[in-house]
Amino acid sequence: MSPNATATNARSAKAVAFLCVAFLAVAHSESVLDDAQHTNGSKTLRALADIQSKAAAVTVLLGKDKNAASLCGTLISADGYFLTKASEAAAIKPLHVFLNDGSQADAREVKRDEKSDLMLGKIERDGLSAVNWVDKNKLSPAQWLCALTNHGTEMRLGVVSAARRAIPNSGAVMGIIMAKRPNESGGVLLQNVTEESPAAKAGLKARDILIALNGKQVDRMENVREILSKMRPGDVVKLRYKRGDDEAECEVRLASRSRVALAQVDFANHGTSTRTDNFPEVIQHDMPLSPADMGGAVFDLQGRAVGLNIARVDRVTNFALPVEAFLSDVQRWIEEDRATRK
Amino acid sequence: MHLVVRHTFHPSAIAACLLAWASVSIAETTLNDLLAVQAKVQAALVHAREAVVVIQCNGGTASGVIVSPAGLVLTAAHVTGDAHKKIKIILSSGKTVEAKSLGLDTATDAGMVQLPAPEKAWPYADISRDVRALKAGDWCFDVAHPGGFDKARGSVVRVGRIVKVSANMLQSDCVLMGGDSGGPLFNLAGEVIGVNSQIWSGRDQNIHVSMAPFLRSWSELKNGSVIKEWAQGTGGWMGVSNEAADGGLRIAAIAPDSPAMKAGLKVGDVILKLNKNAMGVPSDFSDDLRTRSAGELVTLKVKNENGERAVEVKLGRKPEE
Repeated sequence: MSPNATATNARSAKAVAFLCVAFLAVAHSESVLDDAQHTNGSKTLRALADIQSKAAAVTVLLGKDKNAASLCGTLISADGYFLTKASEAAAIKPLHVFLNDGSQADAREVKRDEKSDLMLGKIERDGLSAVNWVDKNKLSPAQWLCALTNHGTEMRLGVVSAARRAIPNSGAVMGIIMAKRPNESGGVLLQNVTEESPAAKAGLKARDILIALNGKQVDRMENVREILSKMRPGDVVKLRYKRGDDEAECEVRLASRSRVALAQVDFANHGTSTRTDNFPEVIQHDMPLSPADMGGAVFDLQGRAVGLNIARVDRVTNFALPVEAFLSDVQRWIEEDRATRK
Repeated sequence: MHLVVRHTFHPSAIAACLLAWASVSIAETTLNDLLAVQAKVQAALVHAREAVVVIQCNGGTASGVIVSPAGLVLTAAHVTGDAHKKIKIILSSGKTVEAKSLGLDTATDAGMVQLPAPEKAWPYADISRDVRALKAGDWCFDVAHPGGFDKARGSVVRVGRIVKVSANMLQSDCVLMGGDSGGPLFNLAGEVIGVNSQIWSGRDQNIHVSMAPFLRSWSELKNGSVIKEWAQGTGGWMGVSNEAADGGLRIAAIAPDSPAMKAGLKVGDVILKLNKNAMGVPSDFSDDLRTRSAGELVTLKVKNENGERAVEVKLGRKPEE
């Protein structure tokens, strides 16, 4: 990134955010802390060894193979019910789960909850370790929390970093700016494609002309907006577009508008989640995590699970759902599932 | 933004820097240590947070910290960009106030802003004046407004460790992002020890201006001066060059008409202490003076063949070359 890059164009953000990215001039006698003793260094994290082994036992990885797992899940019952992040799990087909004991299993989707972005899944097993939820959450700002990262192999430490709150919906977007054209017909011209956005990742470029979305012909911007307004972050929109004289098709996985707006002006090191907003209540924390760590449980320093990681938002922000916000719903879903399976 | 030191170094000086770059290792951290840190941060946080503000200017959003009941605000120089500018400040309560930018030190990224006269007193945080007390490995916390003002969210706290201490800067592993610029880094007593300045891409590469550039140029920054050269300003100057010897720093040369000469120091005298701080290597001396302003009175403990004595020196300002 170029110097001052974070103070450049942020069209859809409220304002430019200051923080220079720069070179460090070393000019003096100085002492440097050993990497292992950083807050998230290996020696510091040894203090969490007991919590780590308990956390690993209740964490499953979701994906095609274990080393390329793109999501975590948390076992919540001995007979194989687990929770994960619905909008990311949707992209994992078939739904396959890797357990900490080295075994693996096909999983069944039991329930997807749009409101919380939780998915309840089930594997056919018995005698599993289940997560130990805290009875009463009394989280306060600057309280330590920890969670697993790097395919469930390492711990990360962070704090409750801001007020518990609802995160409003910013809508689902591709990351395109459509050109205003008089007498529109024959498609919608793209004036710009936001860097790092879902549209950019799908290969769309400025001056492409959108012809159809999900099989529906689009002539005007309003047509595109209407189709997208009914979709959610994580949903896939099928596009037909024209580039020069050629026509082509692609699939774009929509992301939260707030996330696409931020991606240009910040770096999160390991990416951000596709859905980063529209949650009824979250705990905010600052652990250095990745989108693939979502779906894992968040623990306090007593080793009790206080919530479930639900969104990697930016360089300093993760959202977790507090346990009391979903536990009674989840217990009901499990009872309903057990009843229908009898 | 390049934080480049505008000095040319002799190759031997660079070698000395590298030699002095020693890795610090500290005792193992336990769960109880972590809980003790948490208790201290939580005890200081409520008060600290009240002093943290959002600064809006030049079409951007950043952070700052009020450090006096009269409303003096510390921030980063690249936030204000210039002196005597109208600046919008959002207090922790959500109230918006019009302020004005004061001086800035573009060489170190230190900046000041002044709030209008308060009805009673502005909420404020104390600053730590003992820059030399900071060590790599110390715990710290950062409070600012990443991404701008968000009423439902409020300011955002991060807890971490000092990774590196250098003459004008601190590096910590409190992770920062856009909008955090100018926000304060606190020690566990809730005193301001740094101001957020820059990030590298690594999550542990978060750079803060230390209090040294603020302390040595306090009055100039308050008066609206723009400092562009490193170590310019009212930084204290004694006018001696020294070398490590005999358990202290032996004076090798004394500048004519310097505070050192006026105080009666002689070549060959060995400086053992500056105020209460023991002097072992030349950087102990220069780092200490860097945090002091011209006019400040310091006491040296000095020895020569006749014994030890105390010498008071009134620091001056380094003459222009």
